[in-house]
Amino acid sequence: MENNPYKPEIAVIEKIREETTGPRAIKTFTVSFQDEKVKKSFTYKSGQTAMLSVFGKGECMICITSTPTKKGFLEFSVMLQGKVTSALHALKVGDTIGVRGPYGNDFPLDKWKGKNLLFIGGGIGQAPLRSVYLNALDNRKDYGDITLIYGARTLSDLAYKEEMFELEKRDDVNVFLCLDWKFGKDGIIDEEAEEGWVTINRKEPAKTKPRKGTSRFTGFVPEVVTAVKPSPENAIAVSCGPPIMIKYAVANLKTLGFKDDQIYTTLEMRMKCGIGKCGRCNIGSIYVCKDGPVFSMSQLEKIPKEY
Amino acid sequence: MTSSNSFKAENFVIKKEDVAQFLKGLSDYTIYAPVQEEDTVLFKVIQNPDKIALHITNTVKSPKFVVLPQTETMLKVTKGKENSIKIDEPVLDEKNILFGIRPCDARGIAILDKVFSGDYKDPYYVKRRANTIMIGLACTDPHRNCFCTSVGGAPDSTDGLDMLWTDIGDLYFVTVLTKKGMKLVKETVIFSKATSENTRVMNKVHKTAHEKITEKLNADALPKKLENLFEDKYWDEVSMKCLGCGSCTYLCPTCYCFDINDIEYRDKVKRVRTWDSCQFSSYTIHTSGHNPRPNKENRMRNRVYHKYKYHHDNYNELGCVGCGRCITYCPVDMNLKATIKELAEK
Repeated sequence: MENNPYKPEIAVIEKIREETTGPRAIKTFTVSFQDEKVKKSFTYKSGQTAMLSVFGKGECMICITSTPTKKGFLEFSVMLQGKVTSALHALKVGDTIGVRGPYGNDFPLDKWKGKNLLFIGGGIGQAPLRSVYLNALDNRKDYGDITLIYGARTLSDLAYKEEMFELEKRDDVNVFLCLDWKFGKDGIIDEEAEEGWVTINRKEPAKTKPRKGTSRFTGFVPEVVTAVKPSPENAIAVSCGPPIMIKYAVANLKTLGFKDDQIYTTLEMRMKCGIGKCGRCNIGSIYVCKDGPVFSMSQLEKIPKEY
Repeated sequence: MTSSNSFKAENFVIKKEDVAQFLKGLSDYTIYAPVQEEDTVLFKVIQNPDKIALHITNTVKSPKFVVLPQTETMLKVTKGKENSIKIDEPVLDEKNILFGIRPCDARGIAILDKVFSGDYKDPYYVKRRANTIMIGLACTDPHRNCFCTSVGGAPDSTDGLDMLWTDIGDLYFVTVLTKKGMKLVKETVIFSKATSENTRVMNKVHKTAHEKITEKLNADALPKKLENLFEDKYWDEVSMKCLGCGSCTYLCPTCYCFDINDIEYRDKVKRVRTWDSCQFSSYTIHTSGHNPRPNKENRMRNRVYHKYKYHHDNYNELGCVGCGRCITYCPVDMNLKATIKELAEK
């Protein structure tokens, strides 16, 4: 059968990095195609996804977290969740998986040239963002300020730790990491999550003083957005993470003066085919698998709230 | 896919008593036709043309399964030593004839043709469809739930067909619509040229059938109407008695949603595609447990919106052919015709 979009290519797992542990552990898989021709011809853009197969268990759609500026391999960060992700987590270096794609649209990095880029991530939501900021950092002169705000529940839930700590040291990117507040029986405990992780002024987050360039905070991601006070001037903000985080991060961005067409996110849906046929990932008349996953807030305004 | 713009339709007739002989001559093909088994008529592979039951208006299930099987193996995967994996695709070279398909069902397949081609071609569908010849039978006695004329169809619609046959008494009037259809006619001497008297009778039969469908729904108003009815409480009311059984979607000639799953036995894996239904909660549920369409009102709304708005947005035609199966076979008497009427009046 020629051009069968359902037939995966075989890829070998070259490296597995345990990002986080626990019942919802995240592992990053570095894979490369077995077939040299495919390895050369497979191209993708930041934001696109691929359908991964564990033969016998099934398929699942995962965003490509590596940057297309680095060739010869693909990286996927997978959170332990269901049948296929559990099977993926059980694999070892040298094992083979199926990969088909890439699918969907991408972040319009070409259109963003010359702009300041702000990335707001929470938990596994950092995976789609990583491809974009690593891409932008590899083309550093094309962009203005690059700012990363990334939060997780605890230090051990923070993915890409080593990489983030390296980025903190660079002076051409602003990195703000944060860990969630600790909870006691009476609610939030107003103390540092880890030593040196400055607590956010909860009543007035804007009064928190971040150190120039880099700070580590104790507080929720949306509060950090307010504390960091990014300027909406010539800026693009991209936010991926839990829906509740996106909701408040976007609200805070709007308070700072960001407009709907300056804010981007990605959507996820149950998917089976990846090519807009199997039906289930529709929101109104669009299919997230092929028309998404990247949307601006002004695009989301126009579709039904059914996601 | 089958419609050939350059082809000029030609008219023939065949004696009813010669139909069995015509079909027996088509030994290269697998012939699907309506067959009566007890009180149910379904499209089945026929060995003996005498079993064909053309007396009912429509089969319980639409014959879409010939081009989109209810279950099909997409890939066979063999796991070998040292992580080697071999993937085999099926060979789909069976030649099929759908004999006695009603114009609404043929239009349903014409709608699916557009869905499964486009940006990404579905090679399984495309291959099966290219290997299928559709011989339609014009409706002379529409069912009470039929509403094809309200959704762009007709009892004598030729959309998607290679031939349209019309019962004109002792003869079938045969309009050949494509080269594929003409090839079958040319292979035998059973067909003779239609006379002007045959044509006159055929036209009269078509006209009578049109007149029998008295109800005209304003379905064309829906793509626009539905723009503002997403949050309407109508969906709560109308879906109240729905059981969520999915029968409407399984019997529908234009529903095409599917699931893909792996079946594993030792070192062999079959990747299987099966029909799915937007009426099931499992259809959209995320692994996290979040469900974008958690309730039956969300799911019924999606079905109606898909047929009368979303499909129209994407393909500029309604995703319904008015066969009425979803009404006839709903276990709790949900009535899509009533829904269309109520929505059009909102």
